[in-house]
Amino acid sequence: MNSSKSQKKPVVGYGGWEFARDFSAGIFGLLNTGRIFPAFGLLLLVIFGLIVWRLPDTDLAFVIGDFFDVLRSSTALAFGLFASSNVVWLVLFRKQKRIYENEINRLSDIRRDLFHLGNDQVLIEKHRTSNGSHVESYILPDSNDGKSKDMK
Amino acid sequence: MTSIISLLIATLVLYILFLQIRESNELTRTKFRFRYFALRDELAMLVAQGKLKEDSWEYRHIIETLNFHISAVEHISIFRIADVLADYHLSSKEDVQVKSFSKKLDRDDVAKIVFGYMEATYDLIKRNSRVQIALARVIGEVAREVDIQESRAARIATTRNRALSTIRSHQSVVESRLSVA
Repeated sequence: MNSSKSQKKPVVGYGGWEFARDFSAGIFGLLNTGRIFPAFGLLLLVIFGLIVWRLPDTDLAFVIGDFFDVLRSSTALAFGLFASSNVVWLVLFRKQKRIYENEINRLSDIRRDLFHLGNDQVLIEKHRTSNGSHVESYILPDSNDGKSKDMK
Repeated sequence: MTSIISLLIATLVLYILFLQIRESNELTRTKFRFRYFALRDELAMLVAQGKLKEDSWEYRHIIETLNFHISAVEHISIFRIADVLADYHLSSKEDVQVKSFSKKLDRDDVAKIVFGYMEATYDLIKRNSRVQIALARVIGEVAREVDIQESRAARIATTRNRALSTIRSHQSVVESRLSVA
């Protein structure tokens, strides 16, 4: 009995079916979370990859040439998109910096206030945090759920 | 081949746009989370300074509420949370409860925090509803003109608009208590 338990399971190789299973799970994961666009992008990349893979080596240079031709044929648009996307990133980074700096300043103000409370400070016994699951709660207690008793 | 390459380039450009919109939504969530954090810390400071009891109903109930909102902002999508909060603020019992709550709320400092909470919730709903509300007005006008039913999207936007007005009126009730306290 023990010997059968202690027998090691044979190592299952990671083959094409396993890859297909994981790949489809990933694609469905993207679709289920509303990220259709990355899934569509991935599909296009796969199609493009297949075309490149199936091409003879001598024709590969033409594909790369085509790629740059498309870019060259709409240079103004490409540069416009490049510049505008960088501006948007810059705005987003600045916004992020401002939000975090404000939060750091707020926390340092609280720390300063707590340092100067001295012996008058009252310790909070129960730590109430937003981590974990939460009962639905709004600012106004429902008079039917018994919480209103707390208000008296 | 050229058309596939063009499609690929367009996909990459749109993917960057998708990343930027997602990043912007994440920043909005963070901003509102920090606003609720600030209100919660303000309330906790009242306890630390000995101005409010830890076992008082005000402290326990408001902390619980703020924690729920922080958790919701962290876990519910930025689009869904506006609907959840709008639905709550339009419930039939709300008005009665606001009046009853405001009568019992006799502390100026706590009332300010409640006012701040309502302001944050108002801004959160408004941030995700501005365009929809504007579009719903247009759709509503057109629907009335041609005598057809409003679309579901238009009804959602109208609900959010009503929720915003309701929160404003509740804020004024709390504000009136502020001036009395």
